[in-house]
Amino acid sequence: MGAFRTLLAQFCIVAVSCVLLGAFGAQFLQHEMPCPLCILQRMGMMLCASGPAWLLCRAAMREVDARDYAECYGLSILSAILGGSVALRQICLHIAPGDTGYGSPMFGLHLYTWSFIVFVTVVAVSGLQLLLLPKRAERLRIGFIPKACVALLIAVVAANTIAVFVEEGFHLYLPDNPTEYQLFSDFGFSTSAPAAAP
Amino acid sequence: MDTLIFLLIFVMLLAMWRGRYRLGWVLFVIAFIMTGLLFWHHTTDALEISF
Repeated sequence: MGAFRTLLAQFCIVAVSCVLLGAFGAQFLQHEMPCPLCILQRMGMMLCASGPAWLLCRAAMREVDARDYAECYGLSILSAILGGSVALRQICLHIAPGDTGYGSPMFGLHLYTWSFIVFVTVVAVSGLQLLLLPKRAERLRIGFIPKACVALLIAVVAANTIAVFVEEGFHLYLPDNPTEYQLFSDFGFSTSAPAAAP
Repeated sequence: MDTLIFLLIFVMLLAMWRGRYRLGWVLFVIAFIMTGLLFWHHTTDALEISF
Protein backbone atom coordinates (compact mmCIF):
# COMPACT_ATOMS: atom_id res chain seq x y z
CA MET A 1 0.00 0.00 0.00
CA GLY A 2 2.95 2.31 0.72
CA ALA A 3 4.11 1.85 -2.88
CA PHE A 4 0.66 2.86 -4.14
CA ARG A 5 0.70 5.98 -1.96
CA THR A 6 4.15 6.90 -3.32
CA LEU A 7 2.90 6.30 -6.86
CA LEU A 8 -0.12 8.55 -6.29
CA ALA A 9 2.13 11.34 -4.96
CA GLN A 10 4.39 11.01 -8.01
CA PHE A 11 1.36 11.02 -10.31
CA CYS A 12 0.16 14.28 -8.74
CA ILE A 13 3.55 15.97 -9.23
CA VAL A 14 4.06 14.74 -12.81
CA ALA A 15 0.48 15.57 -13.87
CA VAL A 16 0.71 19.14 -12.54
CA SER A 17 4.21 19.58 -14.04
CA CYS A 18 2.94 18.38 -17.44
CA VAL A 19 0.02 20.84 -17.32
CA LEU A 20 2.46 23.65 -16.45
CA LEU A 21 4.75 22.57 -19.31
CA GLY A 22 1.71 22.55 -21.65
CA ALA A 23 0.89 26.12 -20.60
CA PHE A 24 4.54 26.99 -21.20
CA GLY A 25 4.24 25.46 -24.67
CA ALA A 26 1.15 27.58 -25.40
CA GLN A 27 3.07 30.65 -24.23
CA PHE A 28 6.18 30.13 -26.32
CA LEU A 29 5.11 27.95 -29.26
CA GLN A 30 1.73 29.63 -29.93
CA HIS A 31 3.00 33.02 -28.70
CA GLU A 32 0.08 33.49 -26.30
CA MET A 33 0.86 35.80 -23.39
CA PRO A 34 -0.50 34.61 -20.01
CA CYS A 35 -2.76 37.12 -18.22
CA PRO A 36 -2.52 37.82 -14.44
CA LEU A 37 -5.27 35.26 -13.67
CA CYS A 38 -3.45 32.61 -15.76
CA ILE A 39 -0.29 33.29 -13.75
CA LEU A 40 -2.27 32.98 -10.49
CA GLN A 41 -3.56 29.60 -11.66
CA ARG A 42 0.02 28.51 -12.32
CA MET A 43 0.93 29.53 -8.77
CA GLY A 44 -2.04 27.52 -7.45
CA MET A 45 -0.90 24.44 -9.39
CA MET A 46 2.66 24.74 -8.06
CA LEU A 47 1.38 25.07 -4.50
CA CYS A 48 -0.86 22.01 -5.09
CA ALA A 49 2.11 19.95 -6.26
CA SER A 50 4.24 21.11 -3.34
CA GLY A 51 2.10 18.96 -0.97
CA PRO A 52 3.07 15.60 -2.51
CA ALA A 53 6.61 16.92 -3.15
CA TRP A 54 6.88 17.70 0.55
CA LEU A 55 5.68 14.19 1.39
CA LEU A 56 8.29 12.56 -0.89
CA CYS A 57 11.07 14.76 0.51
CA ARG A 58 10.07 13.85 4.06
CA ALA A 59 9.79 10.16 3.22
CA ALA A 60 13.31 10.22 1.76
CA MET A 61 14.69 11.30 5.16
CA ARG A 62 12.56 9.46 7.71
CA GLU A 63 9.41 7.43 8.40
CA VAL A 64 6.11 9.13 7.57
CA ASP A 65 2.87 8.74 9.50
CA ALA A 66 -0.78 9.71 9.04
CA ARG A 67 -0.09 13.23 10.32
CA ASP A 68 2.53 13.81 7.59
CA TYR A 69 0.08 12.64 4.91
CA ALA A 70 -2.69 14.81 6.35
CA GLU A 71 -0.45 17.91 6.44
CA CYS A 72 0.82 17.45 2.88
CA TYR A 73 -2.55 16.73 1.29
CA GLY A 74 -4.19 19.44 3.41
CA LEU A 75 -1.82 21.91 1.74
CA SER A 76 -2.77 20.53 -1.68
CA ILE A 77 -6.50 20.84 -1.01
CA LEU A 78 -6.18 24.43 0.28
CA SER A 79 -4.08 25.37 -2.76
CA ALA A 80 -6.56 23.67 -5.10
CA ILE A 81 -9.41 25.69 -3.55
CA LEU A 82 -7.42 28.90 -4.10
CA GLY A 83 -6.42 28.01 -7.66
CA GLY A 84 -9.90 26.70 -8.47
CA SER A 85 -11.41 30.00 -7.30
CA VAL A 86 -9.12 31.88 -9.70
CA ALA A 87 -10.06 29.54 -12.57
CA LEU A 88 -13.76 29.86 -11.74
CA ARG A 89 -13.40 33.64 -11.66
CA GLN A 90 -11.84 33.60 -15.13
CA ILE A 91 -14.54 31.25 -16.46
CA CYS A 92 -17.22 33.63 -15.09
CA LEU A 93 -15.50 36.62 -16.74
CA HIS A 94 -16.05 34.99 -20.15
CA ILE A 95 -19.37 33.27 -19.53
CA ALA A 96 -21.58 35.88 -21.24
CA PRO A 97 -23.09 34.80 -24.61
CA GLY A 98 -21.02 36.03 -27.54
CA ASP A 99 -17.79 36.21 -25.51
CA THR A 100 -15.11 34.22 -27.36
CA GLY A 101 -13.01 33.81 -24.20
CA TYR A 102 -9.35 34.53 -23.56
CA GLY A 103 -6.86 32.79 -25.84
CA SER A 104 -7.42 29.87 -28.15
CA PRO A 105 -9.30 26.74 -26.94
CA MET A 106 -7.55 23.39 -26.61
CA PHE A 107 -9.60 20.20 -27.23
CA GLY A 108 -12.74 22.36 -27.21
CA LEU A 109 -12.13 24.03 -23.84
CA HIS A 110 -10.20 27.14 -22.89
CA LEU A 111 -7.08 26.69 -20.79
CA TYR A 112 -8.70 28.21 -17.67
CA THR A 113 -11.52 25.63 -17.93
CA TRP A 114 -8.92 22.84 -18.13
CA SER A 115 -7.21 24.47 -15.17
CA PHE A 116 -10.44 24.24 -13.13
CA ILE A 117 -10.71 20.54 -14.04
CA VAL A 118 -7.10 20.02 -12.87
CA PHE A 119 -7.85 21.66 -9.49
CA VAL A 120 -10.96 19.51 -9.00
CA THR A 121 -8.86 16.43 -9.85
CA VAL A 122 -6.21 17.48 -7.29
CA VAL A 123 -8.92 17.67 -4.60
CA ALA A 124 -10.20 14.23 -5.63
CA VAL A 125 -6.73 12.61 -5.59
CA SER A 126 -5.90 14.28 -2.25
CA GLY A 127 -9.18 12.98 -0.83
CA LEU A 128 -8.27 9.49 -2.05
CA GLN A 129 -4.85 9.75 -0.37
CA LEU A 130 -6.52 10.82 2.87
CA LEU A 131 -8.82 7.77 2.67
CA LEU A 132 -5.75 5.54 2.41
CA LEU A 133 -3.91 6.93 5.44
CA PRO A 134 -1.52 4.40 7.03
CA LYS A 135 -2.43 3.18 10.53
CA ARG A 136 1.16 3.50 11.77
CA ALA A 137 4.38 5.18 10.65
CA GLU A 138 5.90 3.59 7.58
CA ARG A 139 9.17 3.79 5.69
CA LEU A 140 8.55 4.49 2.00
CA ARG A 141 11.08 3.44 -0.63
CA ILE A 142 12.17 6.67 -2.28
CA GLY A 143 14.42 5.79 -5.19
CA PHE A 144 15.46 7.66 -8.30
CA ILE A 145 12.00 8.20 -9.85
CA PRO A 146 10.33 10.01 -6.91
CA LYS A 147 13.39 12.26 -6.60
CA ALA A 148 13.30 12.91 -10.35
CA CYS A 149 9.61 13.92 -10.05
CA VAL A 150 10.43 16.49 -7.37
CA ALA A 151 13.42 17.71 -9.42
CA LEU A 152 11.12 18.10 -12.45
CA LEU A 153 8.73 20.23 -10.40
CA ILE A 154 11.61 22.41 -9.12
CA ALA A 155 12.87 22.85 -12.71
CA VAL A 156 9.38 23.81 -13.96
CA VAL A 157 9.00 26.35 -11.12
CA ALA A 158 12.45 27.80 -11.91
CA ALA A 159 11.59 28.15 -15.62
CA ASN A 160 8.27 29.82 -14.75
CA THR A 161 10.00 32.22 -12.37
CA ILE A 162 12.31 33.39 -15.16
CA ALA A 163 9.44 33.62 -17.69
CA VAL A 164 7.29 35.68 -15.31
CA PHE A 165 10.19 37.95 -14.47
CA VAL A 166 10.71 38.61 -18.19
CA GLU A 167 6.97 39.23 -18.65
CA GLU A 168 6.58 41.46 -15.58
CA GLY A 169 9.95 43.22 -15.65
CA PHE A 170 10.55 45.47 -12.66
CA HIS A 171 6.84 46.41 -12.39
CA LEU A 172 4.75 45.49 -9.33
CA TYR A 173 1.85 43.87 -11.23
CA LEU A 174 1.24 42.38 -14.66
CA PRO A 175 -1.04 44.39 -16.98
CA ASP A 176 -4.63 43.05 -17.35
CA ASN A 177 -4.09 42.17 -21.02
CA PRO A 178 -0.35 41.73 -21.55
CA THR A 179 0.81 42.13 -25.15
CA GLU A 180 4.58 42.21 -24.67
CA TYR A 181 7.38 41.15 -22.34
CA GLN A 182 7.79 44.20 -20.14
CA LEU A 183 11.43 43.52 -19.27
CA PHE A 184 12.36 43.71 -22.95
CA SER A 185 10.13 46.71 -23.68
CA ASP A 186 11.60 48.54 -20.65
CA PHE A 187 15.01 48.17 -22.27
CA GLY A 188 13.71 49.33 -25.65
CA PHE A 189 13.12 45.99 -27.40
CA SER A 190 9.61 45.49 -28.84
CA THR A 191 8.17 41.93 -28.42
CA SER A 192 4.41 42.26 -28.92
CA ALA A 193 2.35 39.04 -29.06
CA PRO A 194 -1.35 38.07 -28.93
CA ALA A 195 -3.11 36.82 -25.74
CA ALA A 196 -3.43 33.87 -23.31
CA ALA A 197 -2.47 30.59 -21.50
CA PRO A 198 -2.90 29.53 -17.81
CA MET B 1 4.77 40.67 -7.08
CA ASP B 2 4.19 37.65 -9.34
CA THR B 3 7.94 37.10 -9.73
CA LEU B 4 8.37 37.32 -5.96
CA ILE B 5 5.69 34.66 -5.35
CA PHE B 6 7.24 32.32 -7.93
CA LEU B 7 10.62 32.89 -6.28
CA LEU B 8 9.11 32.07 -2.87
CA ILE B 9 7.65 28.82 -4.22
CA PHE B 10 11.01 27.94 -5.78
CA VAL B 11 12.90 28.60 -2.51
CA MET B 12 10.19 26.67 -0.59
CA LEU B 13 10.70 23.61 -2.80
CA LEU B 14 14.47 23.87 -2.44
CA ALA B 15 14.07 24.10 1.35
CA MET B 16 11.93 20.93 1.31
CA TRP B 17 14.47 19.19 -0.93
CA ARG B 18 17.23 20.04 1.58
CA GLY B 19 15.10 18.80 4.51
CA ARG B 20 14.36 22.26 5.96
CA TYR B 21 10.67 21.54 6.62
CA ARG B 22 10.00 24.38 9.05
CA LEU B 23 11.40 26.93 6.59
CA GLY B 24 9.42 25.25 3.80
CA TRP B 25 6.24 25.46 5.87
CA VAL B 26 6.77 29.19 6.61
CA LEU B 27 7.49 29.93 2.94
CA PHE B 28 4.40 27.98 1.88
CA VAL B 29 2.19 30.04 4.20
CA ILE B 30 3.71 33.33 2.94
CA ALA B 31 3.39 32.27 -0.74
CA PHE B 32 -0.20 31.10 -0.17
CA ILE B 33 -1.25 34.36 1.53
CA MET B 34 0.50 36.47 -1.12
CA THR B 35 -1.23 34.51 -3.91
CA GLY B 36 -4.59 35.07 -2.20
CA LEU B 37 -3.92 38.79 -1.79
CA LEU B 38 -2.81 39.11 -5.41
CA PHE B 39 -6.01 37.36 -6.49
CA TRP B 40 -7.99 39.76 -4.31
CA HIS B 41 -6.15 42.70 -5.92
CA HIS B 42 -7.02 41.51 -9.44
CA THR B 43 -10.61 40.77 -8.42
CA THR B 44 -11.28 44.25 -7.02
CA ASP B 45 -9.51 45.68 -10.08
CA ALA B 46 -11.93 43.97 -12.47
CA LEU B 47 -14.98 44.83 -10.36
CA GLU B 48 -14.12 48.53 -10.65
CA ILE B 49 -14.03 48.15 -14.41
CA SER B 50 -17.36 46.24 -14.47
CA PHE B 51 -19.29 48.75 -12.41
